[in-house]
Amino acid sequence: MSNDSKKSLSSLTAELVSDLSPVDVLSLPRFNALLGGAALVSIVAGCVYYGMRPNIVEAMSWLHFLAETGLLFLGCLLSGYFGLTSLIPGLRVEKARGWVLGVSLLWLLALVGRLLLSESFLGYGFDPGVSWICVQIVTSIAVIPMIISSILVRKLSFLTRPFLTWIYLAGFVGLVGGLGIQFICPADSPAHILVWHGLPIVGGVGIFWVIIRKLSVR
Amino acid sequence: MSFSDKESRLFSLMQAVQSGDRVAYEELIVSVVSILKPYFFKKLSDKYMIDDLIQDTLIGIHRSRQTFQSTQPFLPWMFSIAYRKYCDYCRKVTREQSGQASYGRELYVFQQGSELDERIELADFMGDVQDVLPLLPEKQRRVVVMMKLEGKSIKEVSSLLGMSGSAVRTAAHRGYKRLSELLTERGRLGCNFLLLFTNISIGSTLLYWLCVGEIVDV
Repeated sequence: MSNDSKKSLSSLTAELVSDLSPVDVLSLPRFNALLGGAALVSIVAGCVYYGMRPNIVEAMSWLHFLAETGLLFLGCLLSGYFGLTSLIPGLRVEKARGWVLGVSLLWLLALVGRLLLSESFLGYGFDPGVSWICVQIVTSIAVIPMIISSILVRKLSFLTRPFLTWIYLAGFVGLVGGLGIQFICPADSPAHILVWHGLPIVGGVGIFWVIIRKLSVR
Repeated sequence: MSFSDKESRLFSLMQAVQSGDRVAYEELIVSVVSILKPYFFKKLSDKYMIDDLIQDTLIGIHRSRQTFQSTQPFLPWMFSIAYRKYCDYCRKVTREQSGQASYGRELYVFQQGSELDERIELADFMGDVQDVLPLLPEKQRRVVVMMKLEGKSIKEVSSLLGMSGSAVRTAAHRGYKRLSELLTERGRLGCNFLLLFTNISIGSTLLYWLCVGEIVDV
């Protein structure tokens, strides 16, 4: 090592040592609970504000409703968990991409399958004038998880795998919106769900990704 | 010391660092540097870049020390940060090389050439260099000016400035690197101003046409 760089390294060492202060170790369970709590609060708040779907009891007996809701719930769980885990250097979460993508694809396939098998292609609730409210519902439910995720990203300013963290947390925010509206919107047609629930989810993911890219510090 | 002894020693030091122990931190930094040097040397041959990467990694470790979990080993955590810094460096080099297209040849000749003829040929380029030279840190600027514009040797520069030969080489290398960044930014800025000017011109023309068109119609 040259004399000049030795001097830089020793002055950097002195700077870092003098700057050292005790830190609160990032507690993954605590942050997972925080994110999960935010999702739950926003879904409950959305149900209270917009009202539960009138046919919720009937819907709970439908296999496709349970499957689609279950897949959305699993997607939220996995994206949120892996998004936070990806903040820890050295913990491998790359393979989890497959899980999150797989669950999302399964949800999509379930809807497309129902669409192909349904008698009426568009079904109830495709009219844009009526369905536009669904975009508003998905977006408003996603707001609280979006705020909490933004605060976490900003607080934990050093990201070792920013792309992964961004995409997982953006997926989490979008899927919470999609999960919440399952309990609010009475329309069951797959075309309606794909267009008026699915597209806002994708849009929410895209917008939030742009936001947290700006917020994160590297 | 065996690998597991080294790992458990570093693990204990890191835990002490998280509680604010400065003596442990200094010892940890010394150990980390001794591990990182051969790690980066396998990936890069430029020792100045290796020094820079080591320093970047130390800063990264400092900024993310709250993410180290008591349930994970230290070395994978540290290498994950080091690897990300190396990836950032590779990305930066690729961006610089693609941005250098318009200045690559000139900068190469500027770095390598010592003949007045070559400098006369590069009159435009030299004009740009003179504009950005004041933006370099003083030590780097003085070395670049003495070596490249005044044609002095490393020995002459080191005796005039009271620096070692390797320190002069380091400063020259960093000065050229910073110079190429500044010249590339300047090139991009020029493009952006041109685009802005073009957009304003087109916009103004359209607005004028609309207004005049409106008046003529009336």
